[in-house]
Amino acid sequence: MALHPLLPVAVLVGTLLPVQFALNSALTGFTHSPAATASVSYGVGLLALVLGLALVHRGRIPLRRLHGAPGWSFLGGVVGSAYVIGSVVLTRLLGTGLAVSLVIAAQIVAGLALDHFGAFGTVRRPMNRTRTLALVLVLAALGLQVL
Amino acid sequence: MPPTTWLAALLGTVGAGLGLSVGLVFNVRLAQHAGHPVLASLVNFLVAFVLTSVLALLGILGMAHLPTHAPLWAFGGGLVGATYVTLTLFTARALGVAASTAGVTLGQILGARLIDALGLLGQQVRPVGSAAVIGVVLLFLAVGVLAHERVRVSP
Repeated sequence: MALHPLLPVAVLVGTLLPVQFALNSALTGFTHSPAATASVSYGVGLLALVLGLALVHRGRIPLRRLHGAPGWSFLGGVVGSAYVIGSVVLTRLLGTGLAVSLVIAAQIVAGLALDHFGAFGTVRRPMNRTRTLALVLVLAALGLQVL
Repeated sequence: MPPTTWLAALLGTVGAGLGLSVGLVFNVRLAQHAGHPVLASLVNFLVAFVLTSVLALLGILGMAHLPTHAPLWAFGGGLVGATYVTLTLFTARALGVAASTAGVTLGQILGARLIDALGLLGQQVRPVGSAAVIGVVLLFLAVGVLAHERVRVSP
């Protein structure tokens, strides 16, 4: 894989995730509830997205474009909530490092499973030797970090 | 760790992992329909905001307090999250999904260990041992292997 000049930008973007974990974990010290933290977090993020989109589209956010999409596709946030709540619980218990590793690992395992069964209308990509190797690496990585 | 901690960690991991990967599948479908990924993120944040507000008001996962004494920076999580979601869409477009995923993951791992090692952003200091370093290298290799495979199957 040739190194792309924008690769360092992607690395910088990646650091935002543990920053989010740490900030939300700090806020939970005041809300005493991961659900309330998630609510504040999504509320602030929502405000930022509304302002950003309004700015880009000069006050007219093109909501009409959502019209006719399948109903279930609007419910990503229901499943997604579990992500922010889960990340807060993990960070407070284990610290950002282990929390981020666990989330990456769980994502890989879930992604491999979704691909294998072709769930939710995704293209079916069954397990093969490469994917099994990745799974073994993930499990070894977790073993080394948890123990 | 006591058994309740293990259980909470397990539930947190499953919730976060499934939430992110399954939520993404839903969101990608909506983004394809709208032809506007950030608009799909907006719907995602709105639905999640409503749901988590209801959960917080019902006192699920603990009696919620208004964070009136929290410093302003502690409210930045959602801002950082929205920025992260938007920027990853652009890096994926500029670099391709495989290289972008590998780069972003590397940043996640490095950033997280840096925060732990120095105790930044209100976190307690957690020194990074050599086993953990080997662990994160293996994790990064796993992401690399998958990213590489993805490039080969979808030119």
